Amino acid sequence: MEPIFAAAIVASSVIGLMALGFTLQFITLKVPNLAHTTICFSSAYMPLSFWLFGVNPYLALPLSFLIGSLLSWFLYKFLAFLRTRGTGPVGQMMSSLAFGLIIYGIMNIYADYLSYVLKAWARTFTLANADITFFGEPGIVFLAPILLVSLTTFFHLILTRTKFGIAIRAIVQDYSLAATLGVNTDRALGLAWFIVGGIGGLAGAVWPFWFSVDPWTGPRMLSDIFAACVVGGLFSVYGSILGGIIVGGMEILLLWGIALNVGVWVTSYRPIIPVVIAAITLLIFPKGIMGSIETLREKRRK
Amino acid sequence: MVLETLLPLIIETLTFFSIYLVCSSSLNLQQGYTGISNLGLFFSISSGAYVIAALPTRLAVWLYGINMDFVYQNALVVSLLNERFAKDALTPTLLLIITFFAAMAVGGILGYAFTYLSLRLTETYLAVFFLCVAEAIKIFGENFIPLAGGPNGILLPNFFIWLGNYSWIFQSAFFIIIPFIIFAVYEKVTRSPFGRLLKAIRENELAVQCLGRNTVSVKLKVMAFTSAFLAVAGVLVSLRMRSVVAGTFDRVDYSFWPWLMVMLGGVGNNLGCLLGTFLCIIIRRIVYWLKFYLVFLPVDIMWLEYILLGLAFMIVMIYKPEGILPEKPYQVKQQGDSRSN
Repeated sequence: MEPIFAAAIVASSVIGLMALGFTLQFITLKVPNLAHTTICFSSAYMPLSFWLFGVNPYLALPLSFLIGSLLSWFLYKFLAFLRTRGTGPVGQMMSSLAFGLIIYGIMNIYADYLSYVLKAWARTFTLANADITFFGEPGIVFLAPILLVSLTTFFHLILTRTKFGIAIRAIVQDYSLAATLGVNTDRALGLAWFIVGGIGGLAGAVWPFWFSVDPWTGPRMLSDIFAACVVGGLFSVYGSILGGIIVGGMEILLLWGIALNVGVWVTSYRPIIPVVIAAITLLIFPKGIMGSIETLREKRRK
Repeated sequence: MVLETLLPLIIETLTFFSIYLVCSSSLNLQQGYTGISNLGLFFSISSGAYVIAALPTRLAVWLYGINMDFVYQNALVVSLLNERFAKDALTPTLLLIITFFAAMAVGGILGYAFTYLSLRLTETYLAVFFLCVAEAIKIFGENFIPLAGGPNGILLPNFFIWLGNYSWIFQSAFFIIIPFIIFAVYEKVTRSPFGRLLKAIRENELAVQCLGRNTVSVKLKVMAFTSAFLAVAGVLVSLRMRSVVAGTFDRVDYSFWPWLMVMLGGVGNNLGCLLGTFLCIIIRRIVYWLKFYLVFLPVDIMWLEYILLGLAFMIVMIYKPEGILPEKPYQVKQQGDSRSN
């Protein structure tokens, strides 16, 4: 397979998984979690640590899931605490950003520690050399889409077939009513944030198997996740996954196409692409794909 | 002796404080008074910096007939310009005035355009959109070499060199006075009927619309107005550093710190904003000095600043969510009534 298509597959899968978490967290607390991508990529240091200690980096994935889950759950608890004290959405959003900054600082200190003490190249790293090979292709080319499909299916089944899923959907529809009807909103939301944080942690942990990672990757990727959510539809979990696939794929393939015609210099402008996609989407169809589909359905019903 | 050591430190801290005051008070007008959450404050600030990087120096090169490329022969051109500016008071002064107006125009237009684009977004998503736009502009500045020298940045000539020995004093006064003028303008605006309209929009936009006011137009005006002043802050930062490096205009320094200043001091209160800015600048100075005493650690102490900043913000949100000086209701002076607070 052409490396460019493999890169597009990995990017689409990972951005789709991260966008899933971002949207679910947004629709449950009505607050964009600005620390989400930082939390996701904080777990990317686990496979690196395993590799540095001579262990297969893929074995670190469960730990990466756990790190993402715990950080996400802790942040939820903090935001929920602020909400009970009357802090508004902007205050909560800024608190999530503050939490992200703390994680960013800790990641940098950890990267410095690995660099200075273990003499490892930890500030910017890739695990492409540590990857296993399947049918002559890097394992991540198979793993990333498998993770996307299986985790999305798992999440869909949880949302539609379990009491917990019904509780989450009830909370999304009307938080107060769900609480009045006896749903333990705090436990349900805590668990939801735990799960999507873990999914994000997994997504962040597989990213370095193809692309390079540095402590700033997480904050930088916020634009991609935001664009994915805008393209998919701001309030749709499935839409955001679709948006992630589109944005991730377009970012790689579009840039490749432009670079072939214009020149390689254009690749340094890659992070601008998701912002341009988001801006164009907001101008042309602000409700995103799922929102537009919903509008069409409404029109047909009438 | 002590004064000689302390005076530069005090003046340096004061200029730093004054420039940040523009950032925090602009954010206060956007978020505190109008309810526009702007996480991408640094796009307006960097737009001002790009204007001073691209415009006055090129004009000076053209005016003096220097046949060199300002970006690629930057150091040489800057030294030549400094020589010319030392003997000519009029040209650098005029260039500086043009720069300020151009920066305000660019900042204002960008603020207006991006707000117009994002009008359909809700409060919190609007903030994320601004953040993404600002990051995109930063990346553009970091890579587009003709604008501000790309990743290496660009040096600027000393526009005050013609003042000779008084150059430093005059510059410092300039960096302190201009921000305070902007702060006074904000104070005047917030105490005017327009300021009360902004608060009304923040409290209940729908009600204001029902009363016949075009709230979208007001928001666009506020964003254009504050972005213009933020661009001035960008010019001042660049003049102070005497260089423009696009990478330095990041979300932590020029978005998150102003947010902390506003939240710490008190949202919707200019005096609180002043106090918050002062306290944050003192914290930053302390962390800056700590760096020199903790060099023995195996990690860069700079990262401690991020952790402290995040923790400080979370502590403020827990214990003082309304800030040190919370917003007070403003009593409108009535005819024949001398009381107002």
